[in-house]
Amino acid sequence: MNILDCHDLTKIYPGQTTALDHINLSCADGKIIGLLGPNGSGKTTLVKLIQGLLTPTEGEVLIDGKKPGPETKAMVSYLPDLMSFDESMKIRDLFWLYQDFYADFDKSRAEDMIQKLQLDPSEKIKLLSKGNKEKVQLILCMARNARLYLLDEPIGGVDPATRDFILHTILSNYQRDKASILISTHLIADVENILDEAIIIQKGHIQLHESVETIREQYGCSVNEYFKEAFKCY
Amino acid sequence: MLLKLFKYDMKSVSPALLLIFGATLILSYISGKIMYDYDQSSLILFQVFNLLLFGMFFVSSIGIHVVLIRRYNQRMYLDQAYLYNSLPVSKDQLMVSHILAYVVWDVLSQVMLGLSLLFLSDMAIYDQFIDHKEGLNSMLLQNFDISLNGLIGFSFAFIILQALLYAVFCHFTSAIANFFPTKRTMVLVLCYAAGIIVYSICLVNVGSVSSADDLKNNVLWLFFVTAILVLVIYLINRYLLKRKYNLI
Repeated sequence: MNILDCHDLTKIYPGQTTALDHINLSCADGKIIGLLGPNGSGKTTLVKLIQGLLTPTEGEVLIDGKKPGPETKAMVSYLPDLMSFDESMKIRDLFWLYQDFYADFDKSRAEDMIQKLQLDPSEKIKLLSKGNKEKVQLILCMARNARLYLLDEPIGGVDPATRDFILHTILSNYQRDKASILISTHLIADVENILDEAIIIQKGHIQLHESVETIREQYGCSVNEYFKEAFKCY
Repeated sequence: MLLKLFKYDMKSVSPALLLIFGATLILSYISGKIMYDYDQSSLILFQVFNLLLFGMFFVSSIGIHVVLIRRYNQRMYLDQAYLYNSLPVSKDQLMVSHILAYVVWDVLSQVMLGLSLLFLSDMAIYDQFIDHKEGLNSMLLQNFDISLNGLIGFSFAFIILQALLYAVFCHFTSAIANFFPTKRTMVLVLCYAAGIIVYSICLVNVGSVSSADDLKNNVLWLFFVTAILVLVIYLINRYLLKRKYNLI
């Protein structure tokens, strides 16, 4: 069974903006998949529909054969593209929250990663720098033993050293035989080397869905170069 | 999962509400002591504390709604919604946990109000109540066919029902406001205020009668209408969350 299926998935926002237009997509299990596209192409909309944070206008999305709901949220670990925590909470409080709600949360792994960052678990979120807040959020996401990791722009807006840390954390906590990762980003050059497949989306349509190897063989260039050529603005 | 959600809802609003309630009780106690140990020199002090107390009554009556409405909006429609709507819980659980918190804090606010009045009167109200309890019981049985204990029980049930109404109405206005993301706060405040004003007018009209029987019938009618409103608005909220929810 595919980990993700979209059938005729459409999302039209109030004001008639069509963010996704009859998307049909299937993603097999055990892959790292890049959801790539320029700003405003529909990447975040697709990720939110998968996570049940938006209601489709038409069509459906299935995660492991099920519609988004409590059952799928128990197996999907989601990293949003903004800070989603109550900033008056401490890092330790967030560990307790995740442990309370997610049966697959590995608290000792999370504490280990926080220790490596030399962060104090008793520190309040609001006192952390932007980069450290993003790292804490990523650690909580990757400390779960989920079936599907949904990472929305995990490396946007952070410095290169933090990007390396994020990509290293993703790879070192990912078990290929047990999980899949869907990374949504427009920073293709940074993630290309870790991807198995690439889904390129533009203006709400899937332009390409192939393995990275096939793209390189077929077009004789990297995914980043293909993207720059195919979607250049001048 | 419901109790865990309830725990986090209570933890989130407790600091602000405990501060407001605590300040109100302390001011009531001090004002009560000043009033009953009154002499000419403490007149200004008494007036200052009374002014502060009046302000705290206003703040606590409005504050409880502001804090709880804000909490619901934060975890359903603003940044924290990305966390709470990603938890493996149903939409019903997300709503019910907040409703439970609303009821608990509304009941606590009524208890706080009662204690404040007792402190203000330096416990004189309580002494008067004990002295006239039997007479009050007889009057209630004669005119309204209800005992004092029955009235207290009915009042408690009505307080809980009203709290349920405020909670589901908070959810409803929040859902409506989410359809206007650029004017969210204005729509939320206007809708909530309009609803409260309409309900308050109904409450006032209930008492505008000439006989005890009419009053009793009006109160019972209001109780049942409120219960039906709670159920209908809850079901509407459920539909809006399940079918029309969008975190933009």
